[in-house]
Amino acid sequence: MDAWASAPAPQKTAAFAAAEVARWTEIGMNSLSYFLARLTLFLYGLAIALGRVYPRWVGLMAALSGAAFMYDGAVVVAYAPSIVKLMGLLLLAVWAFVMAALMWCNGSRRRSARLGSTPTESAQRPASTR
Amino acid sequence: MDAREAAPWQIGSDDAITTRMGAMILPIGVVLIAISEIFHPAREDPMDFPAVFEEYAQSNVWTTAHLGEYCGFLLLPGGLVALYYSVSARPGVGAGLAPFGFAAALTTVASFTVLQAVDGITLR
Repeated sequence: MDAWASAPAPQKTAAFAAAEVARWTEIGMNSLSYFLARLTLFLYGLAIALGRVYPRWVGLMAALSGAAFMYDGAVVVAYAPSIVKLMGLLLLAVWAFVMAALMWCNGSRRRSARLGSTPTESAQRPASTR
Repeated sequence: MDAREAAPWQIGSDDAITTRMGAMILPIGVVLIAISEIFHPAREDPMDFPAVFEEYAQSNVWTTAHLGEYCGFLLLPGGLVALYYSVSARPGVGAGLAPFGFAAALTTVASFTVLQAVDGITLR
């Protein structure tokens, strides 16, 4: 883009074509990268919803956000405003903060449980792993 | 006690600390991406190339905004890695699915690295 913006008039067309190639490469990469991000979110959502560590609704929230994004990414391979995309983004932001709070509580609980049970566990562990 | 219920114990590991680190990293990643997006030029229609190239060429914070975005995209999967350990703590379908999410998260990081190289550096 810088080369195109500062190119002398005879070289403008060639510089624009080069910038356009980079732009379409970016759009293609953007589409695939976000598809992967949405797939990741969807898989994590399912894992959480079907798991026994966190509440089911948090997993469903992530799976829904991932599915909305995936639908949008599959339909539109370009930069375009979309209500589905906006909803997915909002859900993702809310989910990240809710998940962080639950992870913090879960980490604290497990640490407390571990510290409380350390002497017994240590006694049960084979000497080679201590 | 069910043998599968026993938490795997490794020398030096503490998945409670990993989980809490992830709890801090995850929202920081989201906030960093949101802040970077505020500074990303977005006045013109992104599919109107001549107009958008002109706008992007005038941006003084192009590389910084993309670097911020990239850091955010690195932090988010960092939080997801911690979440993987947390979800895998108890056996079941969730723990069985978690490694696939983990693998997808790592692939996403690799893909975003290439995307940011093209978008943040090559395109400029």
